[in-house]
Amino acid sequence: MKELALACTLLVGCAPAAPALPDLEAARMLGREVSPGASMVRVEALAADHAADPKLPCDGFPEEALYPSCELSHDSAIRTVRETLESLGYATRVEAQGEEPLVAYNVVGEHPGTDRASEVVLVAAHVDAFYSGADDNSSGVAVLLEVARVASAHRFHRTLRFVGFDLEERGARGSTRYVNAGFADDVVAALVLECVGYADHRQGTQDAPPGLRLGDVGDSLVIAANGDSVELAQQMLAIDDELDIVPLRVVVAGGSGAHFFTGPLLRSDNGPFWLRGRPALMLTDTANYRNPHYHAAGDLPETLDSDFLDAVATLVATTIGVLAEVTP
Amino acid sequence: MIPALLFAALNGPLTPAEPPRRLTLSPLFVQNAVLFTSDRVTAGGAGGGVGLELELDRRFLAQADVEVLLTLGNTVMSRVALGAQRPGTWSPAAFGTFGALFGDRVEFLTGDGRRPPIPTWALGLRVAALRFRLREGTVSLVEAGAGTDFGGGLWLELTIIQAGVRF
Repeated sequence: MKELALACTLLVGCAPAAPALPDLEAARMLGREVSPGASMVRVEALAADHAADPKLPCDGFPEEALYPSCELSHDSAIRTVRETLESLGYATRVEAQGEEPLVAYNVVGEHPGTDRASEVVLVAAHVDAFYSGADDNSSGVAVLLEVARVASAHRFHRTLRFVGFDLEERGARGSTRYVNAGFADDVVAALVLECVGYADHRQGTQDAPPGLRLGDVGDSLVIAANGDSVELAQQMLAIDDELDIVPLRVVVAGGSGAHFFTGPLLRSDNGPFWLRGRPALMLTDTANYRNPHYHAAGDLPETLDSDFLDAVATLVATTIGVLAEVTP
Repeated sequence: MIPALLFAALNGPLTPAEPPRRLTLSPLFVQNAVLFTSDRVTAGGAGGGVGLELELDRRFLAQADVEVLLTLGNTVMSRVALGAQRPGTWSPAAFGTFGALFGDRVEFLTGDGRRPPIPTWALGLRVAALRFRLREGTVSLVEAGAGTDFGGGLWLELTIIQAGVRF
């Protein structure tokens, strides 16, 4: 396929086609089972826990305007993800990687595939957060748990794996160690949920890094892809186009995505996957390019949009139905 | 290479001593930066490359070059240009250009998942105000160009230096 694309590029110049979309009926069922308002209830609980949690040591991490390094917590979110995934019947484990004081406690829950268990579809969100961290990233964790709840009642040909990555706010240490240990080498598709709860439908509410066009209205879910995951992004777009779930914008960074101008797209846990050559998408409301409460004490549940959260959960649930191939 | 060419060119005799030749072919060395931006694509970068220049009657020019650009990934740019220059040592020139970018770029997909066409291209104009024609070759500094793909895309280019050697 890549050879064909190269030949196409060199010889004639053309627009690469989107992959064909499979029958959506079975996958659509998953989206319909998302419970309205459930993600917001989870955000409220997670945010309250973050606010009350002890803070992580911050030696060596100087405080900056967008980086209140001494306000980071993760204890309750790790426990909540583990207990929830366990209660839903997932084979759950906490993988501790690294050394004190920067041990990353990644929480992993797995739902083995029926006949292609070695092919893994991974859904991830980071569990550490500054202050209450409603949008960043209780929103991602809440959607992950809601999708896990929906998926727990179904069977899939491929394995589904839900991961709460730790220490994303300390340089994506949790996901980097996870990927570098080879734990993602069986991943055929990864969806990384990074701030997915803030929407603003007014003009002038969406900003963007230089070179990235994200529109002027902050009401869309942005999907960041690279050369290895562009077909995944096309599939999500096609699903959303067919079912009209949430406004989407897809940004594709060329090659690995690790370039000067596309650095902002590598800021989350998708980065280690991209650098390892594993297909991964980051799903985001664009964080500080939209949300004025980014990494601030004001990042509270009441600033989020519950309908937007539900739409993201619906899209992710439907997408994993397609990617992991839910059995009818 | 380019500083050496610059030094040689600036120390060479002036053009009037040069025997008349109707058609000359010169290798070119180029360093520049290019940005293409549209609703579908951001592409370009900074880098350099090589090309050829054909000069007719010391007035008309045809150029083609291939360059490798970085910054937004690994990008290859191919340009062709047709233009005219003022005869003499100071030989400002203007070109009509066609540029195409291949390789890495930032894409913005449409709602149905279609990717933008490959290559990214534009037609445009380029002005070389600080271009000097000397016996051993030509040196041109700070050329500026702009173009469009006629679909809302804007092509901007800044050539830091372009040097050619005449044989």
